[in-house]
Amino acid sequence: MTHETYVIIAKTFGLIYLMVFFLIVVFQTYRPSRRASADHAAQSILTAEDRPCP
Amino acid sequence: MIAQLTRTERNVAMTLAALLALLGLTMAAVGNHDPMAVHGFMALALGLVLVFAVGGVLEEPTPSPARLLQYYDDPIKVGIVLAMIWGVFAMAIGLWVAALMVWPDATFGQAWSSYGRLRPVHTTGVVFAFGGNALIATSFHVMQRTCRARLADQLSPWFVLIGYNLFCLWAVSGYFMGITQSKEYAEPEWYADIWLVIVWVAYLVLYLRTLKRRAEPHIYVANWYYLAFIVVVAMLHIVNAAALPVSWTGAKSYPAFSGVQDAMVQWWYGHNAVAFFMTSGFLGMLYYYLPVRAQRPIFSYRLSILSFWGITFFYLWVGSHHLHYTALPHWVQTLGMTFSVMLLVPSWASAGNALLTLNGAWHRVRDDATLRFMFVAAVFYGLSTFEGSFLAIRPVNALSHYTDWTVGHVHSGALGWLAMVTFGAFYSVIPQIWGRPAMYSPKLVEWHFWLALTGLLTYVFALWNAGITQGLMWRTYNDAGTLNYSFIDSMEAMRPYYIARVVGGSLFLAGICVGAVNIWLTVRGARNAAADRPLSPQPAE
Repeated sequence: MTHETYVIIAKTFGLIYLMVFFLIVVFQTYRPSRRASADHAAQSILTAEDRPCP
Repeated sequence: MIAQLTRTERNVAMTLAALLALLGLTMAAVGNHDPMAVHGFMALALGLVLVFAVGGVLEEPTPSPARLLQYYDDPIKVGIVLAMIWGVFAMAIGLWVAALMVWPDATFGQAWSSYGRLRPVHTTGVVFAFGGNALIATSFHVMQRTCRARLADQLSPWFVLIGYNLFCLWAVSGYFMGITQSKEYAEPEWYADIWLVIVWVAYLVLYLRTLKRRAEPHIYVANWYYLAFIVVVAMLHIVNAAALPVSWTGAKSYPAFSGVQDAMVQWWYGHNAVAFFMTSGFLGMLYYYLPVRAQRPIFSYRLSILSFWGITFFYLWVGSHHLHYTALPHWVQTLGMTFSVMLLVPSWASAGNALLTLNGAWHRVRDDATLRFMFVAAVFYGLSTFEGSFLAIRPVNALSHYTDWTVGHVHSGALGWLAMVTFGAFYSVIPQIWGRPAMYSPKLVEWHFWLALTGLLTYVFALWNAGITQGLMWRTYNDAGTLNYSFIDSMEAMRPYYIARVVGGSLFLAGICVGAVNIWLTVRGARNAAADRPLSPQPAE
């Protein structure tokens, strides 16, 4: 592969996959249906019990 | 403590210890007069100590099954104590290095105490030995609590902890003897590097096995950060440490890369060591201990996930900003610079998320020095990531590169962010795992906090001034079109700042010493007082 080929890949696919990945992460994280599980996760560490689940 | 291991675990531990002793003996034998032989003897001694320690309890009765109803905190305790010992040692060496800048004769004419050898002792000691032990210890704590599951087994945490400390010991003692690969923050030679890979894989496997046992459906975000720390550090270490030993019987090796490729690999490693060793793992700490200590859930859990992916993706590209105006292709420099600037977004998202979590709990920040440690850590995380993005811009870098501004930046991150969040986490976790209601002396925690903060501010302000002064002096031309100042002029101008740095460093060191004493008194007190956790019958140790 020549330098030019690398540059073409970097400027097309490289750009696209990063942007697409970013959009997927934003969508997955901020979907309204995720709100409940995110809130649950945030609260999950605030438990007084200091023992593993049996 | 060792009698807590099951019979099988004791037998495996015995075998591993014997193998370590054998490895040490082999290295000592083939190493002959090479410094590697000294490392062989160290491994041999450690292996023998472990053989006797485990052998002494080999026939003790099997521990009660009730242990499975509790978290396994013994390796966390040892990890915290080791981190504090390393921290005091490495910061003391740092103070010595700072003093060398003011009194260059303070090497006392010895080879082992020359600047070039002491400096990696300080950096490795602080970042890898102090920071690494803190990360390993707190990750064992966070993974168990967030998964609500006990560590997957009782032996591999010890393998990870002892193996990692052997690596640190090899690294630090090697520098004194002159062993170095000459790669910044990756100085240890090939056999230490291979050893670290084995330890690190065991760490990853232990983490994944514990996650698999989790009773919580969701993997709490702190674990994501710790896992990124483990996975990416493995990747960076393996690529950057690729080297060809001159022989199997000596320490010397040559890197697999050369020229500008070597420089790029080194700084891809170097900056991501900052990202994934010194940031990602400590963010894991922040996302667990700060909400727990403040008794408030994280301001936005979803934002923490977004910044996680931002940090993991952006950071991997920024290493080339260490190589502005070099033989590295211009576009690669621009790439590193652009990603560095973009990195500010996820970094500030994390810092802001932490500070907004405290919004509404400011009375706790005021009253509780432990929480205040973490608050200052979040502020300095925000400050030093802003500074980092700024310094990565090529024209700014033209002024700052090779000056003490860089050193000031690193210390605003290392003292203000890493060390502060570590102390906050330690003061949160120590009373809990040693079964004490609180630290031995809340007053001493206050003293530690104010000593650390004063030291930190003195240090970074001194070096900001020093760096900008240096940078400006080096680029001042006179009417004849030649440089106005000689290099030695700029050296002389640095003296007051370097003295201020020694003062700042002393204060910070005094702080960690106060902390170490307080931790020791808390731990010792636990022997006499009854532990306040639900005790189930246990055989005597």
